[in-house]
Amino acid sequence: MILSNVEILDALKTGSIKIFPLVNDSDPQNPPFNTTAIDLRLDAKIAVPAIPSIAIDLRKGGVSDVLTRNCEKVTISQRQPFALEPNKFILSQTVECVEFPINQKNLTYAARVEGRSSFARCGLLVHFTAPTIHANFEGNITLEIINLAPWSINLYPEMYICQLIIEEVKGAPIVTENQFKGQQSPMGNV
Amino acid sequence: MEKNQVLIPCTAIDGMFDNEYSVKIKNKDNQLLSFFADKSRVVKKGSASYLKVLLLESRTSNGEATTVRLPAETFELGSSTVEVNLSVLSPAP
Repeated sequence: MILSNVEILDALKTGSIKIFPLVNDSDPQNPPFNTTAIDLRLDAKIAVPAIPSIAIDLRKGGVSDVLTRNCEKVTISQRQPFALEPNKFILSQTVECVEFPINQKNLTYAARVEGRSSFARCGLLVHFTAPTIHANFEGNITLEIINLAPWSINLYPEMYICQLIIEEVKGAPIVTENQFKGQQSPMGNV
Repeated sequence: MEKNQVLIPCTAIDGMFDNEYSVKIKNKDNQLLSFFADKSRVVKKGSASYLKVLLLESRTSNGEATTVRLPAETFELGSSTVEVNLSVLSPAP
C-alpha cells in the first residue's frame, strides 16, 4: 500500500521513518511532497568513473577499492554544474539521509526509488537497478545516473532528482532471531 | 550498545563519497570480500580498523566460525551474510 503525502508526514512525525534534512516537513501540498511520493535532491558530490580501460572481475576480492581508485570525485555547484555527456555514467547520492527502522509495535515501511518522468523524457536515468530501499536501511541513497539521450544534461546540486515511493511492509521483518528480546522501544534492537 | 553487535577486523580507505569507506574483510575461508559502508560503521583503534557487524547467534556453523550480517552486500558474493572465524570477533563499543 503506497503512502499518501499526508501518511508520509504522519510516519515522519511518529518517527516510523526518517528523512532529513527536509526543506518542508509540515505541508504535504508543497515540495518536496507529491501526492504519493517525496522528492529527494542531488548531492553536490559526484563520483565519475575515470579510467575506461579496466575490466572488473567481481569474483576477485577488493572490488570496492578498484571502484574507489578508478573514479574521480567532483564537487558541483550552482555556478559549475556537471554536464553529463551522452551515454556516460556517474554515481552520486541524495542530500537526504533516510532511515526505515523495523518497528515491532508500529508499522514498518520500505520504499522504492524512482526517477522523475520529466527527466526520463530527457533521457536521464537516476536509479536503474535495485530500486528498493528495504526496511532496516539507513543512510544516503546512492544514485546510478546515466544519460541515454543524444545531448548532454547539466546536473546541479540540490535539484530534485528522484522520488521516493513509500509502502507499508506486511509484518515485522526478522533480521536476527532475538532482535526484539528485551527491547524498551518500538524501534527494537536492530 | 546494540545487542548482537560485534567487531571484526577490516581494512578501510575513503570511499567514493565522503560519508563512506571502501571496506575489505576476510571470511572464514580467507576469501577477500569488499563493499562500501558508512563511516559510522568502522571503529579505528590506532592503525587497525574494525567493522561493526550484527552477530547472527543461532547460525553458528561449528565451534570455530559463526555468521555475521554486514552493513551491505559484498561485490564478490552478492550477500550481506558471511561466515567468519570466532577468534576474530571482539565486543562492539
